[in-house]
Amino acid sequence: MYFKLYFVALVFSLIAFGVYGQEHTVKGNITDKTNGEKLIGAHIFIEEIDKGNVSNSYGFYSISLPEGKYHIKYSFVGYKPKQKVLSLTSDTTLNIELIPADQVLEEVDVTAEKKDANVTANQMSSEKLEVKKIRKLPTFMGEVDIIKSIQLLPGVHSTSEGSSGYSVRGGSIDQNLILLDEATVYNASHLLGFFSVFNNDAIRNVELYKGDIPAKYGGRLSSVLDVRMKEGNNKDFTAKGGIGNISSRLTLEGPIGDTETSYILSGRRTYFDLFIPLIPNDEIQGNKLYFYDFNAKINHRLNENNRFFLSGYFGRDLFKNDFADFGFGNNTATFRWNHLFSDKLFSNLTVLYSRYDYHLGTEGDSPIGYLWKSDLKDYKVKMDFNYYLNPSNTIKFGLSSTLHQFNPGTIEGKGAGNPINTYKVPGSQALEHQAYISNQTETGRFTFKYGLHFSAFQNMGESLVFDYDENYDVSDSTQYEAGEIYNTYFGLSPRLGIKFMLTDASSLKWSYSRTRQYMQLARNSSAGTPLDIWFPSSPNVKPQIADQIALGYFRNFADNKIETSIEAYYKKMYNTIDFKDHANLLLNKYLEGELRFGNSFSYGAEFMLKFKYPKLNGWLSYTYTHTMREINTINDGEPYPAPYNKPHDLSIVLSYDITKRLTASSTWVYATGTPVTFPTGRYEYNGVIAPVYSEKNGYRMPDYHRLDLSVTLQGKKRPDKKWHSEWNFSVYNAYNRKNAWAINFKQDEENPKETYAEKTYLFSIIPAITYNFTF
Amino acid sequence: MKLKYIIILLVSISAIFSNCTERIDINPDDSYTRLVVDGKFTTDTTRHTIKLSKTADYFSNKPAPPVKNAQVTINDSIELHEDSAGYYRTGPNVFGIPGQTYTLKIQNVDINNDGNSETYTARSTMQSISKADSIDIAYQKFPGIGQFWEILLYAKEPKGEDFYIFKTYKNDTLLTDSLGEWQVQDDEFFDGSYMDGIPVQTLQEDKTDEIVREKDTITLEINGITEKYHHFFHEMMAEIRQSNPLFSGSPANMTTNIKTTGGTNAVGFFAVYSVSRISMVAKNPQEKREAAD
Repeated sequence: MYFKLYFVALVFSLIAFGVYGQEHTVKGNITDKTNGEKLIGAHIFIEEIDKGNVSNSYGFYSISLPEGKYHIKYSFVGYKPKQKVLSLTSDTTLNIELIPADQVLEEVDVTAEKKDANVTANQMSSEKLEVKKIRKLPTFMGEVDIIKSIQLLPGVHSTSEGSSGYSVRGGSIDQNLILLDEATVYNASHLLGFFSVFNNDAIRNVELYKGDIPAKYGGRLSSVLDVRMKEGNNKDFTAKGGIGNISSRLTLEGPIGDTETSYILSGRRTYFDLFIPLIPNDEIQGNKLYFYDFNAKINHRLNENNRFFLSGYFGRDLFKNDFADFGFGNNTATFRWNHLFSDKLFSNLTVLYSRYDYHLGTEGDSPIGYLWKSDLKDYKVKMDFNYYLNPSNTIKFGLSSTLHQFNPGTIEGKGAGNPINTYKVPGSQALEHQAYISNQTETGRFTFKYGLHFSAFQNMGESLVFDYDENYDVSDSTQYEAGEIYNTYFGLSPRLGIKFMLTDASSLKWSYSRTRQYMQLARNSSAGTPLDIWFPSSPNVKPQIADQIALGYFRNFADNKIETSIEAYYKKMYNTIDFKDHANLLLNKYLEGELRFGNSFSYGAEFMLKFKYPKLNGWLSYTYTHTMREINTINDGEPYPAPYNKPHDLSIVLSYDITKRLTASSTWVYATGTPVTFPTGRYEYNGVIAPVYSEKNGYRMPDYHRLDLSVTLQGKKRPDKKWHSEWNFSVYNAYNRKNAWAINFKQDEENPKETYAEKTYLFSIIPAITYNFTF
Repeated sequence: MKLKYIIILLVSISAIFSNCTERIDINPDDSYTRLVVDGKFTTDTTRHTIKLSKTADYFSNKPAPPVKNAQVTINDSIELHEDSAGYYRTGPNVFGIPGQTYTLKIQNVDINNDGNSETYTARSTMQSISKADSIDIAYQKFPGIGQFWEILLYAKEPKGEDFYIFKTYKNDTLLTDSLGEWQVQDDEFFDGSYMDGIPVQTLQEDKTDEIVREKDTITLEINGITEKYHHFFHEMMAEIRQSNPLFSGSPANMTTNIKTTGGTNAVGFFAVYSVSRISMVAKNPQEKREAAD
């Protein structure tokens, strides 16, 4: 089977490697003129051959052409396009600087590209977020949040009010690969999910893939969120900051010495704990609760062919009071080396480290004081190549290896004479290898994209592995030595994409992708907590596999000012994991005995209408999804709706520039309530009324809807002053909808024979003010 | 595995976000009727009670309908007689012996109304329990949470998997009368340790009947329970405790040890456990309060 696929890939490659005559290469980097930041995914279009390319993740592009005279057009959304006329007689380097549209004084129609990426790119099921644009959207407590913005896109569902978790096309939260400068972020939330770990001041580029996942990515079933940090202004020193209701931010960036080296430092800390005394609730007085995060990056260009980057993220949440101490956070460090082997062969070497850990312990004197710790570490080496064969073929390939170290949890007593025995959930290690190759070919109206992703996962000691019988009880165990590989899974994940241009302004796209996942989160609550742990595939846990096909129609109107798309998808997932009823997932040596396996499927349709008028921007997105699971022993083996299945999900995002300085924005979201299990019967046991449930997820929460509003007022721009400021006023939940966060079924305290349902809602109207500045 | 500090911590984190509640109308479907068994059989020499009732629709808001005229036995030899509707009692001098297995049998009931009577059975083995050395009380103040008397236990925890319930009496009145106030604990983290003054129960100062006064007799009751009952109890607590999307798993029916032939599945539990009690007399509680302030 696999050999057949290899053969198909080989044939495709041979077709692609057409023979060309005497040719030369034009290459270079595309950057923002104001700060030297690389532009990722900028378009390079050569009129004479009616073909083009896009810049890669490092702003690099390369195109090989026969000798001749060419008109090359460089364009990027939100920037003024640039055209160069080039007489190509030898290999040429053309570094291009584009000017942001808002820096251009005269009215320029920045979207006036003849063709637009929405229609012409051979990529579907993906979304790009412009940090600049989302900054004007209403915020929750004044924090501009990438993940909250993603939740407004078609095919992406938030998991519960205020949560940073999201479900893509019926997938689970842990099926989203979240990368920050290529390092996996294992928990993207701060403060139990109300904020995400991404400080938007430090973020350059955000791309989300919901399907049609490029061959270079692997390891998660449902989606990839690729977040790239800024590199730092290499022209001028600039400072940027903000003061909001809940946090303050400061970002410093600038060149070191000459323009060859630049840095960025960005920090953020909340002061939510300062408001706790104002909350009229005795139970939480005296608590400390805050988070901070810190992003840093430095890059150095040694010469035309070599460039180095070092970046890191350090974030932590802390919760402390007189009797408990709880902290969690992510750390990542990434070293990268861009190297040009030739004008046509770009390479990048990445070495990275990522860690997620938490601790929970008692404070003060307690005869049963304890400390509970857990962590997960990744060490990864990765090599990526882009081979710019000719204008019609860019071959991407690479490989990587990761060492995962799992320490699911250890609890130990504090102090002498403590009766708590040390309890350790056995840890383990694993190696994850990936290799990929992909190419894109254009022939007439068709563009083909084909790629293969290979992955292997190896469980490695030191580890204690339990065997389970048919009742999921432990029957035996095996101890493996450190470094001993005791289980291997591997497989191919083909990726295919076809684009067919119907007209200049419309296209059809089709894609197929297979994805594999070897690590998952032990979480059976819907929003989850930072204590949830990641556990690997193992002899008892098969890797999850998903096959997804998608078909889309893309059409632009009004000179590309309006973009529309309709996509339909079907996804089949194998070895889906759910947890048995009343599963015990924390500090449990026998976690694997709590797992139940089965299959699931999801299908749906997504509609997107985006408008990009000079003054009016925004989008309307509607998603229909249907996702079901069928898991051994759960719900008596009958299919049941997956936890995040919301059939209807609608978002309307509008942003209008009233004047040059004043922008008003609004978002309105509507979604069917998530599936829940409600009691249908009750019984009395020892004076307590206990529930009897019928089918799992047989009911729904009330529908969710919410309107947020904001106004951004920019200070006057003066050419003689670098200082620039803006005020953002936001109102979250403007019409005070009491959206149910939880529904509890309770026994009346006064009248114990009476039961009632009670909803908990988190927020009424929440206003926020943020003051942002740059200088 | 229950660590009360985690619970307190989680509750206080949740409290920050969950101040607003209101009643709403939910209209779940009707459900079919099941037999409910609420019974216990212990090492105490007493009249042991098995209560039989039926499940009802969730918002029925009426007392549970009793199951009358059933034939109830334990190990076939101990007969239980219905002395009020749905309450079946043994004779006065009956007691269980650790190590023995007890089978509850319920006959002559027709819960599903099909005209045929059904039989329900439950089996459980009496666990043994070792005697505690002593108990003491200590005053604890958690700012923002409240003031408590902690009952401290001094005892050797025997090696091997054990499960306990702790209950408190003051002057022979059970204070921890509701299920939610029992302390249920496994020995996963404590197995074989000497419990040198470990808090196992709390009395709340803000409840008038729980205030400790001079010369009050405080009694700690320790129940040695089965693993299954321990699971049942935790599942019950998970289902009746306030739930939220952060910490609560998907709701699910509680396990039961009641088995049926010819009928629909039953709910509830036949709990068999051994009982040990240890008492102390409170001395100078006021001094201890002042020392803590």
